Amino acid sequence: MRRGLSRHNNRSGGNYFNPLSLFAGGVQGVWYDDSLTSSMYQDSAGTIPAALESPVGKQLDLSGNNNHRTQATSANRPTLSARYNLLTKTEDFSDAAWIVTACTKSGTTVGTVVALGPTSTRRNITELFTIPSAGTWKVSFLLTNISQRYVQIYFGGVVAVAFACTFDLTGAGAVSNIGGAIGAISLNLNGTYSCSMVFTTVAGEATNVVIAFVDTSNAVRAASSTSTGSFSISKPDFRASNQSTGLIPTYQYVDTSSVYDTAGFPQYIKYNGSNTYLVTAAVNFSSTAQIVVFSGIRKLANYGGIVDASYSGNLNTFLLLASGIATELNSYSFLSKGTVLALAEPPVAIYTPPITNVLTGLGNISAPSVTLRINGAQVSSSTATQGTGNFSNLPLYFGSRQLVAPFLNGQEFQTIIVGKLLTTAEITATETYVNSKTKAY
Amino acid sequence: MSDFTQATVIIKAADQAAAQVDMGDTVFIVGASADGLTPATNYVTSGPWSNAEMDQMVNDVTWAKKMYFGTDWQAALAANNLQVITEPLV
Repeated sequence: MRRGLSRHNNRSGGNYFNPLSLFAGGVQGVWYDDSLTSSMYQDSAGTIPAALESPVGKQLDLSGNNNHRTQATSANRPTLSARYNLLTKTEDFSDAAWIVTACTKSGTTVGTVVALGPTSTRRNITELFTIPSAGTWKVSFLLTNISQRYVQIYFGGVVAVAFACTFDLTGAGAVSNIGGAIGAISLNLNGTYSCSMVFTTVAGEATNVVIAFVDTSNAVRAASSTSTGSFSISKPDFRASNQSTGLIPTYQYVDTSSVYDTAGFPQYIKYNGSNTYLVTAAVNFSSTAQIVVFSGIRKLANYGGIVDASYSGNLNTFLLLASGIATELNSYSFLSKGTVLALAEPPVAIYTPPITNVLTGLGNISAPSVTLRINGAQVSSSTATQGTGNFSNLPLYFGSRQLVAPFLNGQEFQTIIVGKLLTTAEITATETYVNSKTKAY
Repeated sequence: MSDFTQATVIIKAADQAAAQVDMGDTVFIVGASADGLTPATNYVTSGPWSNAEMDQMVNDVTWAKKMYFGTDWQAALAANNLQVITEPLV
């Protein structure tokens, strides 16, 4: 079944390139496009259409080979998502998600915070939520209608010291930082201020954290500041800082856990790192000794199988991992095996999670070579022998190495596997296409 | 499957066989222990359970379990001083 093929002419990135061309003439392989909601179902029978923040039980193969992947066990199903902003209610400050302390709040599209006057209590508007892991984060918002001098962003966790940036809205908008946070403020042409704070949390800082927009902190308020005042906030956003580099919109509207902006935000299937995965029936690569694997991925932790062609216990297979295995865990690795294993792995610790990458693994048993490309550039290659034979007729696992822990903790945007050698132009075009769905670089 | 509940379910290793008879042998396959090493003292599954499965686990099964709602399986394991047992990458 070939569904939704008209959507896949990639005018922006690939000169009308369509990955379907890679499979012309009956070339074996798979193509899973996580941005195409109509190709996915919540159940493995394929009767309930997929929806954001719901399980994925079946995904159709768009290559024309009918290598659909499924998960029959409901509790083992990954989740479809396009969520980036971790705040839970971004355009309704009257909602209970926003907690006020010693001030008042109002507003649905623009939240107004009004201080009540001198107090020994920190006056703020706060949202409590859980961050998924240690990492570097960016909180940002727009600021208008200011009737006081100082505004502060404050993040108080449960392990580390508090992080804060205080913005002095007189003059050039000076910033003072606390706890290693890095603040930035700029005045926009329409008179609004763009404010942001980048900070790094440590391991264990994973629950009950606070993001607060403070009128002025008792600790940092200058004597000359007004004791009462107000300001308005719009477009608050909290996300991993490396997802705020301009490749995707800097603000994502969030109304509920499953209602949020999707335009411009790459959709993904999220594997939980515990037990979720998808699997195909046996895919017959026995007529080829060449394989190319493309994957748009964001790994949230090292380890885990991104694509596993039933590698463990079998010959003539391949395996793409979310870590190195030889020298450096903060890396990736691609293994190609005839009767002998060959490995491509960049021995550098620059692929530390969370990180988004487009991976390309190329394996050739007969003219032995195994290569790993990351973000369109070759990073590792070996011509060590892989023994003999073609690839096998075995199931493909996604998010798992044949049900062996650790599972993949990450987000998959796109996966294409082609059972033949590809030209340099085809590789480049496919990487460009996958990146258009991933926004890795 | 449109009705489901995200939950992490932890059982004792001694109950794995009985739990898999009830819920199927594709769940409770990930082992856990205090030090993350074998042997497994517990097994864990985290994900979107169907309403029928939740009904069954809450009302009908005889084996002991701990059930944590939401998707944070790491916190559920940590609350029980458990770590997933990982195996060599290749």
